[in-house]
Formats: sequence, C-alpha cells, structure tokens
Amino acid sequence: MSRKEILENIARNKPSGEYKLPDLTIRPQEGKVDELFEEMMPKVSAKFEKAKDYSAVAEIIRKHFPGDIRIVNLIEKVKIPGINVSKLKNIKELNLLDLAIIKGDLAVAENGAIWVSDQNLPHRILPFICENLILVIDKKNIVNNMHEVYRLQNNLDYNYGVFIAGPSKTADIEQSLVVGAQGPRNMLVILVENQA
Amino acid sequence: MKIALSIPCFIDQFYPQVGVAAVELLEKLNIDFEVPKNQTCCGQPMANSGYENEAIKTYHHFVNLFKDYDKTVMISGSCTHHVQHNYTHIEQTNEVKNVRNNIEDISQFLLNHYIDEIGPVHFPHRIALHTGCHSLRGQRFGTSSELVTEKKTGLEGMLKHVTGVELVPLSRPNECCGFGGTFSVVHEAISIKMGRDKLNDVQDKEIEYLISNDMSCLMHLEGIIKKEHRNIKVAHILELLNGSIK
Amino acid sequence: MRGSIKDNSEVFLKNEERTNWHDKALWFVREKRDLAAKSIPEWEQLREKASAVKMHTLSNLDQYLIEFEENALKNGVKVHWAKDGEEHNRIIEEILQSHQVKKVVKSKSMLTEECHLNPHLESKGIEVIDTDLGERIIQLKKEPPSHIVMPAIHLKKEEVSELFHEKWNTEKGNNDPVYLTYQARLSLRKDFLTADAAITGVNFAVAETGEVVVCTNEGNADVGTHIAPLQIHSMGIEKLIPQREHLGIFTRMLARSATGQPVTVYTSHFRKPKKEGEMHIVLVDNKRSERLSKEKYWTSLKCIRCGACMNTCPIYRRSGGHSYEATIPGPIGSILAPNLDTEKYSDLPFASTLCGSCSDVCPVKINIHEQLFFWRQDIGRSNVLPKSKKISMKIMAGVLGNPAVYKMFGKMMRISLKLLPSSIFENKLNTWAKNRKMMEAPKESFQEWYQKRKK
Repeated sequence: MSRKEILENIARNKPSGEYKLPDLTIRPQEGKVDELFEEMMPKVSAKFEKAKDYSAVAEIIRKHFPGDIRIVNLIEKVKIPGINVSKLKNIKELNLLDLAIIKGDLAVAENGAIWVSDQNLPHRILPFICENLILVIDKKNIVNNMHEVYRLQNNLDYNYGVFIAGPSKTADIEQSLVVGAQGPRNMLVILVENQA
Repeated sequence: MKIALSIPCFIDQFYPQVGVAAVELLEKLNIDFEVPKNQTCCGQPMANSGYENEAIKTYHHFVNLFKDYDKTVMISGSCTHHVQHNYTHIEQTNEVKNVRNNIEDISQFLLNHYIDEIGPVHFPHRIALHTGCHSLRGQRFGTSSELVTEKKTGLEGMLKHVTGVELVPLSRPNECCGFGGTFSVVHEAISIKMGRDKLNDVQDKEIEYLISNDMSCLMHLEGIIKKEHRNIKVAHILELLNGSIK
Repeated sequence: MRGSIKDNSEVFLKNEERTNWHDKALWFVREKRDLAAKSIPEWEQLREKASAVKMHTLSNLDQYLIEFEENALKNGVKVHWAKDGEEHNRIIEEILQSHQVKKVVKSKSMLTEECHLNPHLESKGIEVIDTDLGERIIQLKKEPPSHIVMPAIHLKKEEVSELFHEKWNTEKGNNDPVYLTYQARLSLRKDFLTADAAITGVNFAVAETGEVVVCTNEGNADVGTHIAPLQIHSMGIEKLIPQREHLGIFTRMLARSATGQPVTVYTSHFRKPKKEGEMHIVLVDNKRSERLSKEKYWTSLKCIRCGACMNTCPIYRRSGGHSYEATIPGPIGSILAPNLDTEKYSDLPFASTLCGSCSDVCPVKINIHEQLFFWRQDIGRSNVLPKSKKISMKIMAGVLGNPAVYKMFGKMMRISLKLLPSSIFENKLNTWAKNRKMMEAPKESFQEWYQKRKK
C-alpha cells in the first residue's frame, strides 16, 4: 500500500527540528471597511452601486438590466421574478443564463472578495454559468482582511464556498487583461446600507 | 585595532588603481592598516563552479593571512560575502570564525564609520550607481527593490560629501549586470545580453559614469563597453571618493 | 535527449527583438507584484509567517496528512495515495474508467504536468481538454507550458490568432485578445457542457477540515467541477496547511506575488461532493517525502507555485521557460528538478548569477539562490560534470592556493596580454572575450606597486 509507504517515508525523513506555528495576530488596515471595499471594486473590474435598502436593490437591478432576460434570483427580499431553479431538471439548462442575483455572506475590504457558499446556492454552478452576476452584500458584513474573514467563518458550515473578486478574467494572451474568461463577463456588486 | 586590507585577485591583476585608491583613502583617514603579503583569492571562482573542495586550500591560505587581524577590509562585497557565507565548508576553528566575523566590504566599512571624514570631493558628472548583488541582497548594503521594508542607506549614502554630482536612477535599479563569476563564461550569451541591457539603460539616460562598489561587475561591463565602443565610463566608488578618476 | 539551457537560451537570444519583448512582459508582471506587495505594510511579516506555517506543517507532515484524510473521508470524499507519477496516473485512469468517462476537462495543475497525466489518459482513449486559456493554447499548439502561472507567455497574439484560425476557423488576422478570448470561451463552454469528469490541481489543503482550495482567475476549475458529475483533485502532499485560519496568510500573498492582483478572482473551497456528485482527492508523493530528509533542500517544499521568482529572474526573462526543459522552469525549477534526477538536470543550477532576487521575491522565503549554490557543490562532487572542467578547476586551485605560483601566473598573464596580439585572446576559444574586450594589462599588479612603495 502506497499510503503506508508514504507515511513511513515521511516519518523517517521529516526534519527533526521544532518548528512552531506563528502567531496570527496581524494589524488590520487603517480606514473604514466599506470605503476600502468600494475602492477595490474598479481594481477587480467590478461595477459597484450602493442601495439604501432591499427595495432600492431591485430598482438598481432593473436600471442595469431593463430588458426581458433570463434571470435566476436567489434573494427573496429582492422582488425580481426569475426562473425557479428548484424545478430545474438539468443544470446545463442554465447555460447562457443572462443574470444571476446572489447574496454574499461576507465581503473583504482589502481585496474586494465576496464569500458565497452553498448555504445560499441551490446549485454551485450558478455564479459561474451566468453571463452577468450580481452579488448583494450587507454593509455590516464587510470585514477588514482575509485573516478576519477566515476567523469569522470558523463556525460556518458549508460544503462548498468561494471568494469571488470581480468577473472572470484572463491575461493569458500577451498579458492583456480581458474580462470574461470562462465565468461571468460582467459583475455588479450592490452594497445594502440598511439591511432591514 | 589591527586592520588588514584585502585585495581580490582581479583587482590585484587588472585594476590596481582601485587598490591604490583604497590605500590612499585609508591613509588620508589616518587609519592604521597593513596589506598582508602573498594574497591570492578568496576561492569564490571555484566554489561558484561547484568545486568547493578544490577551493579548500585557497580558503585556508586566506584564513592564515587574516586570522590575526581585528578587522579585514576587502575591496569587494562579493568576495566578502563569500568568506562570510561559504567558508562554512571548512572546519570552524576559532581562526576561521574570526576571519568570517571580522571581514567587511570596504565600502560598507567606510560608510558605517568614516563617511563624514571623506571629502568633500567635486565630481560634476551625471552618474548611476550599481550595487553588486551580493552586497545588496547578501549583506543588505541598501534595500533591494523586492523587499517591503524601510529603505536602508547603501551605496548612495557614500555620495554624502560629493559635490556637483548628478545621480540618475536606473529603470531597473537592482537588476543584475550579468557577471555572476563563471556564469559570464558558461552562459556567455545571457551574460552579454544582461550587460547590454544594463548599458542601454545607462546610455538612454545619458549617464557619463557608472559607479559600483564591485569591480567584478564593472570588469564585465567595461569589456562590453570597449568592444562596442560605447560612450560610458566605469569606476569604483573608491576611485570617486579618492578623487582619482582619470 | 534533453537539450541544455545553455544551447537553448542561445537559440532564444538569437531573436533579440523577441527576447526584449519577453523580458519586458515579465518585468511588467514583476512591477505589478511590487505595487501589490507594497500595498501591505506587513508584507515581510506575512512572508515570515507563511514560511513558518509551511516549515511547521512539513516537519509534521505525516500527522497532518492523516488528519486531513480522516476529515476528507468524513466529508464523503474518496482519498487516494500515489507514491509516484505512474501510480497517480493509474489511479485517475481507474476512477475515470469506472465511470465510463470519455472526456475530461482539466484546470491548471503543475502536478499533472509533472506526472504527464495528459498523454497517459490520451493513450487510454480518454480526451483531455485543458481549460485554462493559456493551457488550452499550448495544448492546441502541442507545447509544454513555459511558465507556471502564465503558460503561454512566450507566444504573441498573432501566433494565438493563427492557431485559433487553424483549429477553430476563427477570423484570420484578428489579433485582438478580447476577440480571441471570446472564441476560446465559446469553444471551451461546449467542452464544459459535454465533459464527464473534471480534474483540478490544488493550491492549499486544510488538515482540520479536509477541504481543498483551488485558485483561478478564469473560473475554469469551478465551471468544470460544478457541471461534471465526477470531480478529482490532484495534489502534492506538500500543499497541506494545518488550519483554515492559515489560509488568510497564503491567499493574501499568492495572487499579489503571482500577478499583482489583490486576490485571485476565485478562491474556491471544496469540502464535500455536490448533490449526486462524486469527489476524489489524490495525494501524490513523487519523491517529496524523500526530499524531506535533505537538510539543504527540504525547504523547497514550501513553494506555493506563484511564479514570482520566474518574473524577477534576469536569466529566465532572457532565455524563456522552454529553455529549461523541465516541468517547472526558472529559479525554483532549477532547485526542484535536480531532486528528481540530478544528472539529467545538472546544468540548471549553473544557469544563475546567484543575484538572489528570487529569494527576496519569494513569498514563503525559500533561499533559492543558496540552494542553487548547494546544488552546484553536490553536482561538482559527483561525476556528472565534464572532466575537462574539473581539470581546469584543479589548475585554478593550484594557482590560487599557492601565492608564489599565483604571482608568476598573474605576471605571465599581464605580460602576455601586453605582448601578444589581442586576436589570441579574443578568439573563439576565449569565451570571455567573444563579446567583451580583454582587460588592459597594467604594468604592475597592486601588490607589486605596494611592495615597491613601502621600500
């Protein structure tokens, strides 16, 4: 069995010195987290809007996407009709979905990343298969940096989760940044100031 | 304090004027020093090529020459670095440890202790500085551009009492010149390309003098300058501070 | 037969315009990295902590692997152990065969390159589609990656356009990266929708939760794994870290070091299989456990594959990744490859000026340039290097170890430089003087001057 062989090799070969885990207290960045977060949005090629509450969220979305398009809306408080994904027979039917509206649990000021997990996702593919993605985040859920977000998440129970920072992109052809690689080609982040 | 001046082999053989500048500078500073006879080399060329064992005899010779001094000032950051870091290959007797601990690149020695007693020197020229990589990253003579730390004074600090000089920053301030010891011969094509790129940058900025604390970098670059008839002059920082650039 | 980096780089350098283009493209990435790193005042602290986490994990790797496996099994994940590349390929082949898989989409994984997974699966009749754009380009071009983060950095957009035109009948002469990327998106989307399985590499694996973390910018790892019913993650055993909290350090540094982005667009955490899906993790040793015993080299296992050492390396930038003829090129590749086959890769540690930029840029503080120096000694002591070189070293050692001989030899050199026509020194045999003018011979050495002056 390779398992046994590998583990025995490691036990025999591993360095004998004592190497301690480091202290993880790291000073947070200065500044207001929502302002820092907003500053990151253009840097990760995401569009950004602020909404005073959830009814304003729907207005903003209608303004950005006025036409008759295929939408999946996973946020009850946002009154926008869409496809009922629970009745979906095959996730492949979601191909070329125009818009997905999804709630982010936590957002990170230092890099603009938003945590989306399968607690809010009936299908993991949703934030990836849509052409346009809207992530909605409550102002109170913005944290300073990655250290903080991982600490907060320690109690979270998820099977799959992802930090998303902007629409999918690539620079594989001559280092030219192109937005819209294999995932969404546009992303709009809506920050809700008053989540009530 | 008993101080010895250590001369790298290539300065001894090809750039004696740099050694002369060192002697004259130290004398002007009233520093009491000796130049031990029978100096050869620190052994770096062999070790760099993967033949550390062949360098052992040279290491012992070096240690024997300098073991009784409180301080060895060496006219090369790279050779100093080699003694400090790679003389671990021979038995660590007190003598070996002594030499490894007490050796210092002459540029750093002067900057740390005597910079305000040097000059003023008038040098009305456009210059660029090149810190040898072993000094920069091996001894932290200055701060390499990769690091996110407070900037530490390096070679540019040695211009403190030089008047009329115009210091021009290079586009890639810490890019290696391409010498690399035996690399310059083994990987001649890359070495030359690196040298040319550095010189193109110098030329584009209409710099007259390229000044370094490491003559080996300059030996390589000067070879290309002369071969290609470029209008750039090179000099060791000691020559500048001694006012002996011709 | 493997070509040497010396010969390969000479060919690369023949096209100076292209060399300059390549050098500038990578230097641009290095500059972006500098800006990103400098946006974090505690950067050096993070490097220190990242290194400490890795050293701690590696020195307790067996325990952490057991903990990781236990938690992954609890999550309903199937865990496999492979001692080498061959076993890794066989395991994956078996998983795929048992599901009658005809087509696999794969996201970037240097490990599967190391194991040569693609040719293996293809020989068994399984179609493999690389889904990272850069990887897809070089797969179509039938070339290995030339960089671990930007696999097609050596190609110009005109070449990509030509390739896409030939393979996919895209518009001839349209060199716009936006157009080309969109065409690849359309083609890859079809592959994603028709694949039976998805394979990804792993950036980090967390022992306390049994989850694997995969970082991409394109989203290809996610599109692949979330559509295909079967997902397989291949990981080197050194990818482990103890706790989720440690991810904070690494996710802050990885993208900043690699491309200068604040974070990769997607940092995906896979813990359990999706509904009605199946998830496998293959743990691969391939001589990593052996390397743990090498006092001078085990810390190279800290590497998180960010590629920063390539972008900063003045030699890599001017010789191109293919010149190394190793799975992983550049400075880190030059200290990794000799672990796998010292003789075969004995030239790589010499392809460096030991300038140390790689070590200063490394987010996990691997002493790359020092390890290059150590490898040179190990290779020098073995019988790998040509005898002629050894003899010349012996002569050099004889000269430099003996002051009297040195003096005589030095004098002879200087006199001959003066008296003999320069053509003797500046000929083909004297590589130093091929493109450099020989040093001018002074009339006396420094030591001669000094002794005379004292008298």
